[in-house]
Amino acid sequence: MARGADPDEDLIRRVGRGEPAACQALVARKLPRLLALARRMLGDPVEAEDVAQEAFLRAWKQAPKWQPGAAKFDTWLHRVTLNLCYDRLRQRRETPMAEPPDRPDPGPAPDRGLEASELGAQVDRALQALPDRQREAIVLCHYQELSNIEAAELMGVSVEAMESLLSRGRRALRTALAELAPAGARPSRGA
Amino acid sequence: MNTERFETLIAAYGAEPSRWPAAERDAAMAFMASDRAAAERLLFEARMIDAALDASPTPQVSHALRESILAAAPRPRPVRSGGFGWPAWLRAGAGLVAACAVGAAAGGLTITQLAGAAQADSILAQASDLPVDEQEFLG
Repeated sequence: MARGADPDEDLIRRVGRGEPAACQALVARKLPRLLALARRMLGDPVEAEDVAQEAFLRAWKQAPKWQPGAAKFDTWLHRVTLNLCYDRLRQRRETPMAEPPDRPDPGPAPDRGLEASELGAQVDRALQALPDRQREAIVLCHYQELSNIEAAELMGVSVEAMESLLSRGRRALRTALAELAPAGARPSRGA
Repeated sequence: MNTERFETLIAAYGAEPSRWPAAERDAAMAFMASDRAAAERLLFEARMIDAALDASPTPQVSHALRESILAAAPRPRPVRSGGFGWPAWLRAGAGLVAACAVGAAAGGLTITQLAGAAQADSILAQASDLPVDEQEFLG
């Protein structure tokens, strides 16, 4: 993980003292990222909210005893969230459902239109169809915008191994989306 | 940076240089500038996958979730009242002194009461035994 100053250090110290403004600032800064991470890892909006809530409960407990220097708080929070996601993914495998949960997805903002909404839904379905580790690599690098070193450390693999997961994931996405797209709109494979 | 590494880089991280590894970004951009046409051919597909990934909607945080999380947030530690802002060791010392004073007062009262009772008994006993002149002395 990237060393150096932790941009959240002062905020976490204030959260540990129970300052309401600091708690609100931490939620404003981290909740959208954690929710997006859980949502894309799990593909289920309700479970994603449960995970985000549980991750914050752990953050509240951790803040008063947080020791700066060992890891960045954001990296720790990502690790906690990913662990919670993997717990749920494991439970799904152990108790397979007859059908995936039918839960309404809030989707994109109305002004983005139906076409964007449908494309986004197709991309989400393609992401969910990827193997967990490939999806994790793409989510961490593309959506969470972590550095390659941070993402590899979070995943517990070398940077080279993570690059391999990324490449395979992106290639699988391309194939899945090409199959979904109308024939005229498919990207040419030789491009 | 060579063609093979550049190809590996964009296959993994996509076409946006800000997502490339910081240690290789400058070299990759120099490679791209040196043969723009070749780079563009490699970047074309990566841009399409990036665009598809960007179409995934970002979930919106609901008010209920935010409030629920904040409801469990740490609370400020309560400040003890009645300490007049004195340091803790001084407040503790003052408490100890006060406790000792109460104990001493109670102890003193008991001793006084016991002594008084003993003295009264002694006086009565002595009054019954002692000669008249000594009774007069004791009063």
